[in-house]
Amino acid sequence: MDLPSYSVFDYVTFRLTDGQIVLIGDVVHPELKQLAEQAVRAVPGLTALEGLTALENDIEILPQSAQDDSIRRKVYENVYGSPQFTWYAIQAVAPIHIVVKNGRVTLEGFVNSPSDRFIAETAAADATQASAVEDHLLARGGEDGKISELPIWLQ
Amino acid sequence: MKKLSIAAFLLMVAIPGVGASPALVEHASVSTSQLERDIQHELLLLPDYTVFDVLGFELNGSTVRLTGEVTRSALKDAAESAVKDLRGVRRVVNNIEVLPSSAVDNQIRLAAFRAIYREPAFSEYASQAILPVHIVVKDGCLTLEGSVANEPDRKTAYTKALAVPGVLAVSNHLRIGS
Repeated sequence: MDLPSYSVFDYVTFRLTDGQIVLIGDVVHPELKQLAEQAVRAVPGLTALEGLTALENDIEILPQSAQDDSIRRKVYENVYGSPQFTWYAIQAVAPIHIVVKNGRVTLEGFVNSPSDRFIAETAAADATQASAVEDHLLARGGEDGKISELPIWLQ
Repeated sequence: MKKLSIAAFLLMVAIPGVGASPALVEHASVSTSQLERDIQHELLLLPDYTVFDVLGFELNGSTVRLTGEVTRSALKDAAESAVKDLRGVRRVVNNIEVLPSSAVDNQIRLAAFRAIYREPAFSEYASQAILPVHIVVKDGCLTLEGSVANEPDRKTAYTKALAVPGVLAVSNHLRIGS
């Protein structure tokens, strides 16, 4: 069975709230929203977890937009194509996700240092020509020594 | 369009450790399929596991035999550490090979990575959350591991790898589909 790619342009994670697992994030392909929920429901032992009351799916399906697609490609090229970011580009699991909605770019995932955070944010901003860039990247270990919400794909 | 198999996607979104955590499956034994997923998950998410490494395993009862080739010895050790404490694992045989350190091989790796992943036809592979094509280089010999969507893409990867300066031979182990 083939399914749409889970790519660096999607981002799925979750949070635990009052006994609820809430799936959050943004996906380009609508099918990924349901797929993520199915995958979590299939985790053995999860439904028997004490205190777990519900699973809520708040993943947002991003609007189709040629302009956003163009921004995705530009930001991707600027971030992963940067010689300074070769190490990130060759990782088996992509560490930086690029979420674009109505011209607004959000960077999610991990980098190795605060300085790499800055480089990634700058590269994304250059690609979007001053469109808004929101930087949610976490430096490994955290700039304050804490990581509050680990991405689901890197835990 | 390139597709990601359901197995690969589930691997990414499954909550790691939940199926294997004693706290959550206290009275349940771990099935072979679940243990295989847990091992896959742990290996895939090793920090600094790159497309220039390839990791695999064979599961025989509670014994895991780790296989593959890696560019750094730390990754070999990390792979063993990652799986040895999984619920259901009693023994780990670490047969991962550490590739020889070679500046020439490193140049080939980077050149092949750029040749393959920057090929326009491969742009969708390049942006996948799990890069599907791994490039293993040893003494100038290059092996392609992983999967692509179709035969033309398989041939393209082979052709691109073969054209990289310094490559002595290319083995194409790419599978079609998942």
